[in-house]
Amino acid sequence: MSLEEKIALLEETLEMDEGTLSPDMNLSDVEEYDSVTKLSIIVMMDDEFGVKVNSDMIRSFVKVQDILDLMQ
Amino acid sequence: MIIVIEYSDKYSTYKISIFSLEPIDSKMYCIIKNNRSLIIDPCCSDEVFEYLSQFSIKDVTILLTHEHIDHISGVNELRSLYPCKVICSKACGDSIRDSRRNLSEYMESFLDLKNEEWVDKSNFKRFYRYTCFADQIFEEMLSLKWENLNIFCKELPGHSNGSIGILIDEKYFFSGDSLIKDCDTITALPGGNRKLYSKVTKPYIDSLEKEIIIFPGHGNFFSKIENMY
Repeated sequence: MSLEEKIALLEETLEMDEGTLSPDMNLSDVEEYDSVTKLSIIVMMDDEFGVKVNSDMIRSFVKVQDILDLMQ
Repeated sequence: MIIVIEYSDKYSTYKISIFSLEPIDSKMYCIIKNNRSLIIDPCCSDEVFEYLSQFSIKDVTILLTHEHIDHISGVNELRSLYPCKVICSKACGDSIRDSRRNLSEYMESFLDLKNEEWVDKSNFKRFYRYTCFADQIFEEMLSLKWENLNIFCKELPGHSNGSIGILIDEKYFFSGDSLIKDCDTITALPGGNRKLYSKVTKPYIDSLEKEIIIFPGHGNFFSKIENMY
């Protein structure tokens, strides 16, 4: 999956418009990044990449790039 | 806590008992008539089973507003106690068999992420990888009669694939998580779809009579007119 495809998938998971996320964005600045969408990210990671993400890992994410790094 | 509302039609009086599953106040609704029980979104709590044990229940009809674990947790326990018939949408019926689709696999992480110290996750730990099954599924809509109540179920996608609304005697609407007082409907969970919510579910809810009483999946019941302003 290309970087663009990963960002698009993340935007879809966060219900954000296309082209609004970039890797260097701070997650604290992303309004849509809340407890519900964090759960959606956990499920998406499991479904799409077979990656098990737990709440401690979510808490360690600072930038969008931190999520993208796990999407493989 | 049990809240009871009385409802009378021209034939008889019904009581709607309301139970809450902590820590996220998921609501279960229960009507008992002639030793039969109609339950919407059964939760697994001792309070519920103690309440039901006061009656000589001969059968239970269970309606599921959607597939998420906090709305289905009592299904298997009820099946072990009473003859049950579980009715839901086809999409819901598919998802309750899968612990990832019904979110029971992830519930502990979700509650952890809510980051509220008062949240007691122990209630949900026992539902890790919970699955159950339906006895009757439908697509689009279903009309049924229970005692003298006319029940109309309609698929209302948006919050989840399998979400439905349940209208009883055109007076009481059990909205599941498709309509909660003073809250935007969550469509970001897996299986949620904001476009479908706007295209299908919201217009249907808007079309309901304003005098209708809404019994939501979380929080207190309210009149539709109360939510319009």
